[in-house]
Amino acid sequence: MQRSIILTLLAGVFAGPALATGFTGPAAPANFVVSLSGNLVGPLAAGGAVFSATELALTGGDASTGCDGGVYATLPGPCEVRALLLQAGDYRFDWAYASADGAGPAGDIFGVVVDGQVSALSDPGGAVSQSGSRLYSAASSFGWFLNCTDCTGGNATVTLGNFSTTAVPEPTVALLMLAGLAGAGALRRWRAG
Amino acid sequence: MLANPRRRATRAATTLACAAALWLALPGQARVTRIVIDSTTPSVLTPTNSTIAYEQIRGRAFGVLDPIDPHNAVITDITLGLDADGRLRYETSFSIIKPVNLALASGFLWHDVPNRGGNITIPLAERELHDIGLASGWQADNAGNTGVPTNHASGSLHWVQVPMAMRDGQLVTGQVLGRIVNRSGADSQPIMVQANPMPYLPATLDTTQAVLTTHSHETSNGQVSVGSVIASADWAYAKCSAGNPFPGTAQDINIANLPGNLPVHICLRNGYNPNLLYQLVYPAKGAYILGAGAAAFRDVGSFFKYQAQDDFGNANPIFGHVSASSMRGSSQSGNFTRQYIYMGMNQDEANRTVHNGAWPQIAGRRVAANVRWGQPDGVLELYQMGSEGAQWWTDYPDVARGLPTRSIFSRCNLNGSCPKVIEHFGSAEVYALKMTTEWVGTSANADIPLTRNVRRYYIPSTTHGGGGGGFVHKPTAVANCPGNNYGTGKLVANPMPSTQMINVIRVAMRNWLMNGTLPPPSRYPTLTGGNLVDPTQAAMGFPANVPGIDYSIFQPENFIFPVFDYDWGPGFNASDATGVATNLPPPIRQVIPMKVPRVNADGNEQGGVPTVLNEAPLGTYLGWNITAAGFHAGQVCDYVGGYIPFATTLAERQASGDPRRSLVERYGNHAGYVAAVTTAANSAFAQGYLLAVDRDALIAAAQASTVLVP
Repeated sequence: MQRSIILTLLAGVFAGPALATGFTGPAAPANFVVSLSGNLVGPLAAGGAVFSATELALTGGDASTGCDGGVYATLPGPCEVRALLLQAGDYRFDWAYASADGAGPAGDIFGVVVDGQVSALSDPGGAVSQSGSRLYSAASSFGWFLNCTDCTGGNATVTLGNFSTTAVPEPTVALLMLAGLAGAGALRRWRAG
Repeated sequence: MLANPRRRATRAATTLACAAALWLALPGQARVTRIVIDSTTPSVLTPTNSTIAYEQIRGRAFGVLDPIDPHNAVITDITLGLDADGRLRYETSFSIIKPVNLALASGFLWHDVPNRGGNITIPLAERELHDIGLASGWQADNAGNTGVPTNHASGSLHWVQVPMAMRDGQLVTGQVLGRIVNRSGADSQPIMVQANPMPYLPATLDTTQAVLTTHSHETSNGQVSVGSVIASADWAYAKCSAGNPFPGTAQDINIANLPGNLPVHICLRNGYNPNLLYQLVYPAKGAYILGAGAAAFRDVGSFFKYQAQDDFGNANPIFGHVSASSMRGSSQSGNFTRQYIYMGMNQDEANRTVHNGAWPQIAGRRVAANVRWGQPDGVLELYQMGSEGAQWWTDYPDVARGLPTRSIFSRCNLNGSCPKVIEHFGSAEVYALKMTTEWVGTSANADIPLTRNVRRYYIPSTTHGGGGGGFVHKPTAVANCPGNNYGTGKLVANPMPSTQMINVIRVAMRNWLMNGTLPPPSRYPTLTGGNLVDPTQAAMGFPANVPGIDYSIFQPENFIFPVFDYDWGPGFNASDATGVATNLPPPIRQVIPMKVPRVNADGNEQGGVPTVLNEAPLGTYLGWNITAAGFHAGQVCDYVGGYIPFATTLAERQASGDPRRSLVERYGNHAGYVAAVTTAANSAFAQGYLLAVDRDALIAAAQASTVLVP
């Protein structure tokens, strides 16, 4: 029994938070769900998400085609790019935002999506170039969005860097847990035998 | 059957005549019908470095309003001021500043809104651009500086003469609230609203019909300590003094003698106690139809922009020379600018947009100029109206006050007559003029979006209207608290200027309206950006132990004038701020939460447009001050800002316990300070919030200053 507990704890240790830096490992691009809406569905030049090992670049929309109905400065906009990681954990990152919208940053809003809840990070009353560092804890998912609220006047870009997370992909967690349980079961059977 | 040619001609002529009659009749519904030029002063106000000559025209416009016209439906009591023909008539002053040779005019018209009747001459910068200036009356309360002169052709102030509300041939009467504060001695005292007389005469000299109450204390957040009711036998509507003791000489309440018999004086048998505030609720007569003043402003603007001549053939002296126009008001008149738009007045009787642009300055609310017994001079001291209804530019559900979802643009959005708007503010408007409700609504929990047709510029750490500027480390100017006999501030006047940003906006507005060039993006503190916080020392991050500050100022009872949700009574439309207020004094249903800008370690504000003095400070620039003495002692000093200089050296600041770094620690020496100013000026210029000429002037002024000069 003692061994089974040890094995279970060991599995838990393997499944527990481990710091990953950059967009690699559990935070590799393949683990992100990138969604594009409105006119962002198209060439990346019109908006999208581009990963490197150290950075994620989001580009918002601009052309009104396909993005009708948005209202300046409001959330949500009709077009947005969203990159989500469906994992619990702590997320730390630096962000740098720049708006080319002649009316300023209220036209294109950048923010985070924490467990499905959207909140803005870019300041609609701030400078056209903004930056910051943030830390979030998510229970199930975490990501970013960049929208164009009325999708005219120039787009915005966001660069996310210095990224680290304690998140572990859900399948890995499950596999480790299963391995631990299987080990405990085998041990019990071996002792019983 | 072929018609007889003669009959056909007769029929055609008749049709033409009917059409002409109809054409003549339709514009008569609401418009200027006649203008009179009272004076023309040539060759004045000519820019010194220009060859263009200017002249000033002073005159009057006469107009009619049709109460059935939807454009006028919002005017309170319009049906109570009609002539026998069913029209309301007004007369208003106007002045025009224009190039003598209009062929040289730029095509841009500034329609300035007088503040409490004061005339406005477009500044030199606009004359150098060859713009035209127009100012005309709107404030129809006929008191003090808005008083209609005996000789209408005389004077330089602005006024509107409108009817008083009548019912069954009798003047309408009602209750009015007035206050007297910081007075002492045996002399009678006037009932004032800010610096002008209360415009309404008592309906009777019988003091038993009125209630005069004393207050021993009032807090900024609306807590009132009631003293006592002064017996009706112990006061009078009268002028009195030690030599002419109680009951003194009775107040003249003859309507025919207005405005000369204002202000109304109150004489007390036992004289005034300076520790008390005196509040009078009295029956009044002579309710002006104030909203007609807004229509007069509209019609004058439309006439000079669009009409070649009046009904009598008098020529519009600037006709054909206005291609774009903006109305503009500052402080009280900026609030009127917002009120005017809210009333839907930016469309004339011919469905034309009157002004393409609007520039409400240092004004974040509206004004009580379309309610019976309104007091347009009010500055939102306790029980003054002005924050009712929508204060914001996009639809916002006013859940906290239970009012419908509306915006200032609600009416003009229906017909496409909304102007492009540039608004700018400073810190004093945050603390005493109830401004942030415009930004975050009555729930104060989310930033209310702007539209692409609105630009908002917050000039951080400025007093009302901006300070005198310059680079003087230790200025000595006393800060006078504005408002009704408020007193002075403990801290010296805040010198942080707004001039440079106004210069930016002037250029931006002209370019936006004349050629579509976008102004710089809005810059203001937001909840999202973390620069808009609760009005507490902790939330603001205001440093401790700054010399000269009594930290009790940060208590809610002292610090900020919040918006009050008043219950004005059943006859008042709280969304439109129309009708009649009958609950006097009005119960406060709730205190609306306010926000203020976050500050840095120096106590200077974060967020807003970049300014040189905020980036290269010589001290802490405050949008608030502390009332030095009197009834409001220790509370925020109405809407005037203060200034606390940094210590010069480390030793000096250590001696006083000042947590803020000294000038030497910051800048080293004079050259270091000039370098900091240069960096700040270049940054503001690069971002579009400083003109090149002002950048250069500021750098030169810093060089010429005595800052850190041994």
